[in-house]
Parts: sequence; C-alpha cells; structure tokens
Amino acid sequence: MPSLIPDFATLETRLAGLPVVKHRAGEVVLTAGSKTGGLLFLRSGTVEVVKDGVQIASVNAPGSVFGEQAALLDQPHTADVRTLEQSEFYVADATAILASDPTVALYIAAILARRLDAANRWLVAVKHQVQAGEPPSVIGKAVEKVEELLSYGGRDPTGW
Amino acid sequence: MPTPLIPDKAVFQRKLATLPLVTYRAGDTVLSAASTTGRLLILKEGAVAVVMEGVEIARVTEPGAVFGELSVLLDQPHTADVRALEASQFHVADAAAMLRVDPTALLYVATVLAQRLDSANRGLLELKRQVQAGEPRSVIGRTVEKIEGVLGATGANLMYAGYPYDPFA
Repeated sequence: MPSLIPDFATLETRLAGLPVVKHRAGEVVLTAGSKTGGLLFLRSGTVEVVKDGVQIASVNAPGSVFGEQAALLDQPHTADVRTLEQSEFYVADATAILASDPTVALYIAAILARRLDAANRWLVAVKHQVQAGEPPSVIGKAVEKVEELLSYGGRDPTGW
Repeated sequence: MPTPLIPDKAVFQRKLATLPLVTYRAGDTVLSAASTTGRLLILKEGAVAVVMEGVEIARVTEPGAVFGELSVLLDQPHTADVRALEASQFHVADAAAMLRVDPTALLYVATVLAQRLDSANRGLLELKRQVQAGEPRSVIGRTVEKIEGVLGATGANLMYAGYPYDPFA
C-alpha cells in the first residue's frame, strides 16, 4: 500500500502560491494567548518554542508547522514561537487551507499522529521510571521530553 | 476571527450514515495490535476496551470515537487491541480512501488528534507539578496512566455531548 501521507516536497508544491514572510533573529512569530487564525510552515531558519518562559523545543526542519492545533481546536496559541536566526515561513489562512486542500490537511493530520505516537513512546519510559522508583530529577527530564514531543511545531511526517 | 473548522458534525454524521455497519459481540476483538487492517472504525453504539500489552488503558463508550486512525496516518500496524465489552456497532470505512477523498472526515480525524494532544498536554502540566512537589509514586503513576489513556487510546470525539472529552479538565 503506497503511503497516504505527503512528504514535504509534495507539500511545498501546494504551498508555492502562498505568501512568504521573513523574520529576523529574535522576533516573535506567534504569541501564546493570541488567536491569529494563521498556519505557518517553516521554509528556512530556526525557531524556538517557548512556554511559560521556558524553551521546550528548537525547530529547524523545513515543513515544520505552527498554529495547527489552535486552528483545529479554535483556541488561542498555547506557546510563543520565536526566531533564533533569520527565518522564512509560508503563511496560510488555516481555515481556508485545511478546508480546501486535502494534501495539506493530510500532512497536518500525519504530524499530529506522529506527535501522539512519539509522546506515547516516551510516556512508557516515564512509566517504567516511576515504577522503578527513579528520583524526581530523572522522571522530570523524561516528562520534559514528552512535553517537547507533544507541543513543538512538528516536522515532515515522512522524514524521521 | 477565524471560524471553527469542524463543528459541522451534522454533515459528518450524514456521511457516516452511508457507511456499512459492523457489529461485534461482547468479548470480540475489533482490532488486534500489530495487525494492519487499513480500516477506520467509528463507534456507533456499545462499549470497548483499548488494551496495550495486556493492560487496559481506556474504555470508550462515546459514539463518534474513532479507531484505526493512527495506524493509517503513521503507515504502521495497530498499536493496541480494541475489544468489545458488550454488543457494539461501528461504521466501517477504508481509511486511506476515506481520508483521501473526504475533507470532512479528514478534518474530523485531525481535530480528534489535536484534542487528544491538548488533553495530554494538560495532564502533563499536572504530572510535572506532581513530580516537582515530590508526590508519592502511586499518585504520579495514576496521572501517567491517565495521559496514556488519552494519547494511546482514543475516545476523544466531537459528536458526543461530553465534548471536549478531557479527563484533566
């Protein structure tokens, strides 16, 4: 069965008509608590995802997407996304593109699935640590890994 | 202000009504871990247990709950058994075909996944607090299991009055 899921190269052909925005290093691209209705696809550069003042992930894989959970759940963004170097993004209206472009919607669904799966695998590690009576410092590190996997922008779902 | 993508539950429900139905008796296995069925099952009525490595991680009774979506989106075998706890009926679709051609179904599935991630994230905040506060292992273990239920199973669904399903709310 051929994979259903588009890779970033395929996705990029769908994004080609979208506006590209450039941000310099240190700029805030998305703000926690705001509702932009936008979807951002990283084209080049590196960003960090910051929650409550703490960096939970740094992301540089082209095709990483930001804003998808807020759009799907109709909620404000839950983290800040800030550029660590000059970065470029394709910008889309989330509702419009998800409702009209199945390739993009599939790509995003696959990223969400991948994130769930990865977080779940790490959670099993946390469970084993708790059962083994590991100290809170060790468990805390594994919990942070789960948090990273659950929250960060997510990269090309076919690429890892 | 963006309009929500999904809430057209009525449209999705009408689509579901056109799908074939399959009924399982109590005790039947609906999906087996490690198998690849390519099917998407949407609970119409009944109750199922999601079992991972011999341990029940969730019970699901809400109509609209989706099973099999991770397998098709990750292109990998099912990771858990789904077993009927009582006579249960499902709408059945060929997952790849349905997701490829039906934007409503695709968005429904994507939103269910986003909902589960969101719920797991809340659970994780609670877990972090418990670890930092040095709570007993039994308490931490229970929270981990709840998050596991949200992540690894299913149960989030958008048609049931209980939406958003969220054990951490």
